[in-house]
Amino acid sequence: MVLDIAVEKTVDNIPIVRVKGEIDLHTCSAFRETLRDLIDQKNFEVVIDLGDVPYLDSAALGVLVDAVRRVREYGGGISLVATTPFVRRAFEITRLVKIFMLYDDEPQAIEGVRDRVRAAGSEAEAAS
Amino acid sequence: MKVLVADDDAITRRMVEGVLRRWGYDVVVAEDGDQAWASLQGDDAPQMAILDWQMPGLDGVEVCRRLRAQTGRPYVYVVVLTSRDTSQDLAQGAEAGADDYLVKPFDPPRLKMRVRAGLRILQLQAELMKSVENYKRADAELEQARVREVETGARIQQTLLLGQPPPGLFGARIAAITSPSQMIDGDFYDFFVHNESCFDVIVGDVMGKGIPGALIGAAVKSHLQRALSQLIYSDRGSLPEPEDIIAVVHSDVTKELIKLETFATLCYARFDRAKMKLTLVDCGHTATIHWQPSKDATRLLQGDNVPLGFIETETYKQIEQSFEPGDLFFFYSDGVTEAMSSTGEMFGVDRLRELIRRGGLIEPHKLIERVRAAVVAFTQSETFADDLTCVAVKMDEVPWGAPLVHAEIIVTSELNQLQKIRSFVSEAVERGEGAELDDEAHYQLLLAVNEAASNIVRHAHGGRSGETIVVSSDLFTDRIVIRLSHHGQPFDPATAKPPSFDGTREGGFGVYMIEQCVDEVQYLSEADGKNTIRLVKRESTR
Repeated sequence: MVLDIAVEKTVDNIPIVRVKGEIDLHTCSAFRETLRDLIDQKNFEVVIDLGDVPYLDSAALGVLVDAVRRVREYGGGISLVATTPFVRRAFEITRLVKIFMLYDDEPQAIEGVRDRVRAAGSEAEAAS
Repeated sequence: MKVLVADDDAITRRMVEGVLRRWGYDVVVAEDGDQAWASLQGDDAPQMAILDWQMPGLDGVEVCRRLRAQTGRPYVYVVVLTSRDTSQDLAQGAEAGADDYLVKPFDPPRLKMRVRAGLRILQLQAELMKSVENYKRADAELEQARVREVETGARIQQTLLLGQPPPGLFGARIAAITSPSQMIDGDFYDFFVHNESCFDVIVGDVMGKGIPGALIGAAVKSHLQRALSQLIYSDRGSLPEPEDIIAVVHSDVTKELIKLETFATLCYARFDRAKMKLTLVDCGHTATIHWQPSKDATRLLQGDNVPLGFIETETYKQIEQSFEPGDLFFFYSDGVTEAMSSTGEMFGVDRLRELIRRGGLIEPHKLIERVRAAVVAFTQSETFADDLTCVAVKMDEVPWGAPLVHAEIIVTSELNQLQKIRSFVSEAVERGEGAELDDEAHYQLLLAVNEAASNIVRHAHGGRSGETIVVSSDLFTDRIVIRLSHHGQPFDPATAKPPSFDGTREGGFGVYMIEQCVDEVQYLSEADGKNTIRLVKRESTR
């Protein structure tokens, strides 16, 4: 079983990572690499679409925690599109809902990122 | 110093008063025995009294006798003045408690000598009292320190030395209680769980209480554990018989116990739920009570071996007893049966048997509390003369059930097998036989099984691939049981770090997720080297 990972960028350069398949300890390494590469290229706001992920385990959560830890250093965040109830449940059980932003679909997630970027920008303007 | 002079003869009285004042004493006078007595009873009473023998009212000897009969007041040094110098009189004065006497008419140098002697004695006595008091204070401080030490010892014993009844046993419930007579005690118990159907209960009692008793109890326990693992190791992983374990412990400790002039009684009981059989080695312990609800009767199980520490040549033999669902076994120390009522009657084993026969149906922890309460009521005392220990083991009423459906697959220790394991679990859930799990419960079971399997694949074989993992599913009417077994390294969940929920650490969620997702999880290490993680998901009762 292979995990399908595709990365696309919006016009304003927000990366969207679309994952298809079950993410577990076996399949998570490619997922980890993809996220690390993006962050290394200074993408500190990343949208991850888990809409086609029927199952993920603690290793997958570990990858996401690793990513969030990296982008937080630069004031960024990880936005998740988690439509399947079970995937949401995994975040609830581990109380990780608090450290990710969860959305119902991609447009909402992208809009969320833009709002935050705008807010951060005006803050920076006000500060300067 | 204050000195009382009591004489009805004014001339003698003044003379004595005069010389004493000249010598620097503080003098109080009395004209008769009653005045003298009143003066000696007042606050700041004189410490020395010079009493005329013959006075109106109380005479000097009577005042002296009364002084000596009194307790709780400082000592008064008494000199009796007498005109009679016979040995009979002397004897009478001495008997009344007089310290000295002076014959009238007295001469001053002699009086001076007697009074000085009295003063010295009073000073010596005061010093002595002071050192006794200091000694008492030091003794009280020592006692306090000892009490603190014993309290610490008792806490250590309760938390670290006493085995705790294993929770979540299969088909049996265990409860245990111990009430030490001196806060820390020589009674001990322990529990070894070998596999799903087999566990050992050990109950022991060391002759001698307090810290030495507790230390010997702890030593015997550690020898039992050592003997068990030594035998498992030397016999390539098969579970040693109780009598073989006791034989090893016996050869290790008996000589030492004899030297220490102590011994330990012990009951080593192995319960095999699959064979419905109890194997018991009785080292001179109190008889185990076996309650059989099917017969509404109790019987006593007793071997004929002596306690550990008695005879070096003793050969310990085990006895066997079959049991049925619902049976109860009651282990106890002689502190229960030998508890004494205020009239000197013993609690006795018959009274205990009757209590158990009447209470055998209630939960074990309630039963032992009932026994304890009965002993308290019988002795009318909350504190016990001897250590009091009870362990109750109750078999479940339902027979050791077979599942409705059993299935298993064998996978290898590779990560690409995780998905296969999940499919296997989903197949079991979706069969629709036995317990019905809704989608959420299904997903939680998948999460738990996956985490358990990931752990085994990653850690059990040092990361080696190609090792065998057996995954089985058992469907019961109310639950689904998944077992993951392997022959690698056992996993101790206590070593897992708790997860950090703030995203500062990525690992540590596995064990936590397992606990959150299933109703029961057990990590079992069996004697043949097989390690099993057993997960139970119950049908939701909503």
